[in-house]
Amino acid sequence: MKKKNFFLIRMAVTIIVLLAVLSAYFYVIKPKYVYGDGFPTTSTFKGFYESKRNSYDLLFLGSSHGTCAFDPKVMDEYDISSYNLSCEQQNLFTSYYWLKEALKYQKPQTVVLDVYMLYLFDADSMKPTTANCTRKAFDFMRLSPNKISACINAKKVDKELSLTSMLFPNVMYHTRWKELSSKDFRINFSDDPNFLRGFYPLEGQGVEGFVPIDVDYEDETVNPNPLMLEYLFKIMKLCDEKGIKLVLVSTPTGFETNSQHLTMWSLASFFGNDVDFIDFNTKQVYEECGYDFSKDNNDDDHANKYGARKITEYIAKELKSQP
Amino acid sequence: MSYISISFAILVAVSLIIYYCIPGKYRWYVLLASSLVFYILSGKLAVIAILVTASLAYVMARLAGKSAYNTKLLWASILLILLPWITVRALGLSIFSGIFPKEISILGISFYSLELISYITDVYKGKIEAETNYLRFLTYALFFPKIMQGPICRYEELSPKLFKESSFDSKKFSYGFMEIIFGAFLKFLIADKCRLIADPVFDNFIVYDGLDLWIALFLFLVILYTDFLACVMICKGVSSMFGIDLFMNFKRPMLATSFKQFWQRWHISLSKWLSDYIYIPLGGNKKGQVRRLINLLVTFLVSALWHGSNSGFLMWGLLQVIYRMTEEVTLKGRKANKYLGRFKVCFLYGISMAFFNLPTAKEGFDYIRCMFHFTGIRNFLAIGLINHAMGYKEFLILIISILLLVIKELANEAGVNFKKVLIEKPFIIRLLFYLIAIMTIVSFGTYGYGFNSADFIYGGF
Repeated sequence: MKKKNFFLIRMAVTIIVLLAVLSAYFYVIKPKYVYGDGFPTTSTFKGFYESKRNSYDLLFLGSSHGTCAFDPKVMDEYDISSYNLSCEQQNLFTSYYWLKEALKYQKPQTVVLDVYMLYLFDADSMKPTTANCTRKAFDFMRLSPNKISACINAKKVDKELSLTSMLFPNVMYHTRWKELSSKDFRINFSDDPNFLRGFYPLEGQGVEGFVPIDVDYEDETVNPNPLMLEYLFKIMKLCDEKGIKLVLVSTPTGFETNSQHLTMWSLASFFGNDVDFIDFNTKQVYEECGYDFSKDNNDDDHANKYGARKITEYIAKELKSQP
Repeated sequence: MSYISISFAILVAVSLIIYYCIPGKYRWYVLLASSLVFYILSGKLAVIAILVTASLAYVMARLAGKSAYNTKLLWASILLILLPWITVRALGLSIFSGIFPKEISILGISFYSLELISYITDVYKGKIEAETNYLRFLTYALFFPKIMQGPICRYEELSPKLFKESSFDSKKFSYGFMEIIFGAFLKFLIADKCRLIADPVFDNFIVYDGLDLWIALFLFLVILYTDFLACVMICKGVSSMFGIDLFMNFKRPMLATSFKQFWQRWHISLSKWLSDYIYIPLGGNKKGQVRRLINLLVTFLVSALWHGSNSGFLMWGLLQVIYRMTEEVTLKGRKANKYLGRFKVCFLYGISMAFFNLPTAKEGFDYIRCMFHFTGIRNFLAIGLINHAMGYKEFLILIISILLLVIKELANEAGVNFKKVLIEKPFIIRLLFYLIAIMTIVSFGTYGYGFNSADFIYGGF
């Protein structure tokens, strides 16, 4: 019996040491996207975990449009401490699971959600969210029931994803041993001098021909993508349960229609005063914030760093103006 | 269910926990239940086929000696046991390809059919007693670690181990763990890495240079050996963890100095089965040289048919007879030079791989013809393949892995047993070995996204 117990102890030690080594390996082998590599997805999520608990009043979520448009440093000027959890091709499914994750560590009063994917997302082709970008978004989420649930549901949504490889990153990334660099061994990402709490400034300028929407309230509404709508409702419900004010934001793009604006406006109104909707594509907001698409946008979709200031300032002022 | 899947690992882990938590006399029920779960998860057809065939073998064995038609009953039993296997093989024939939409394969059918035939034959010949307990018999027939790729276990060898009330043996458990690690090393660091180069060449060999074909042919020999040995080691390792020693199916065949020795070292349980149930009953070598040649031909024909019904396997079988007979004529009982002998076996068996790995004998001959068509180093596509399929860093890993295997085989041949050496070392040394070995396989192995490493070659037989 004593011999058997001794063996069990040794086996337990072997398993624990093996799991520890494997965890370290999983961390190193996952590709990392930091400032300087394009959208800094890894810096965004790792940096968030490195933040002091309950230190943010506001969280941003959304696609690349949000990443380039919401600047937490501008928010600081209005005494609103914030973090931008938007990332490349983040759809509302991903936003929901990252909001759930973020609420374990922070108690924000406000969540600002970029709703670009509400219409653009196509459940049949999964465009524009590629499996690779879904991986980038979830790879650095800490292992928990929330992550497992996110991975299982993501696999149901996107058949291209491999559930095994989402939970065991070596399945997808083990061949990366040939291309490992010093950043793969980095532990802290928030001490990077370029770290901007998830904001990714773009420098480009000069897209002509944008005409803001002169809202016609007589127009008909148009159905958003059902999956995105389902997750928008989940986000609304989650915010409602936690007593968080939700602000839906549509950043300046050349693609939004009057019908889409009306739909988003009615969705926000449906939840009453706790959900606001700020649409930078409407003539009123566009002019009020002094936006100039030809100077403040990087391309026909994304705001540049000047546009980001105007958008963030407008949101901050709106929030400050409310009781 | 594959032996290298997460579901298999979970099944083994759960079975082991339950197995060692209950009293010894009930443990075989866990083996039966795990085997049934393994089969159920492997598909409806697989579980129906093995349950029907095994039940038939059980009933027929119970009838042995109780009828005046004993011999006829034995033959009827053998035919009935072989029926699903013959059906599967016949459906694989190209003449049926237009009639049936796809080839059917039943998990482990070639292995358990031979086991059941050996059981029923031995019962009818009075060598062993028929098992009276149906569930115990099913435990033998279905025992899941050996079902996919053998070894082909005889009832009298395996059943005492299955039903013995043994206590937990930490040494056997550790041996099992090491064997699984070794199996994974062979599969992921050698067999599947070689496939990255050899498979594209075999798929379209006409466009490749002769040098490419030589490389691919001998890489396939490495693949066949390491892939099969990998699965055998995993099966053996899992069995050892349950405290059950399985027969070792390989004994360093690539170090054999003659073909006679090679067949005593390669897929030993099949060779022994063929010898006991085909070659010796036909008269073996006791009825003159001509009869012996015929017996050998029949034995290798059965071996070829066991592998598959296409002309490629038949040619492969015929080549083995030619090798054996030529060797006997040239050696005339003398002992072969060790190094020349080893080279001869590796080279000639390697050549026969052209028939083993291509669906028809004609394609095998075409492949060999193309091997002598050299177009110069500029057209040497394998260089591009190595670069494209894995890159030179990974190719270096493959070379190192093959060298490690060669060193291990040579050391084993010289009587060194690494498992025994390692088990005597302090725990911390073993822990370090486990960590280095597992992390090497996880980091440098060929598996995962975009690569289907789940198929063992012999799993298809």
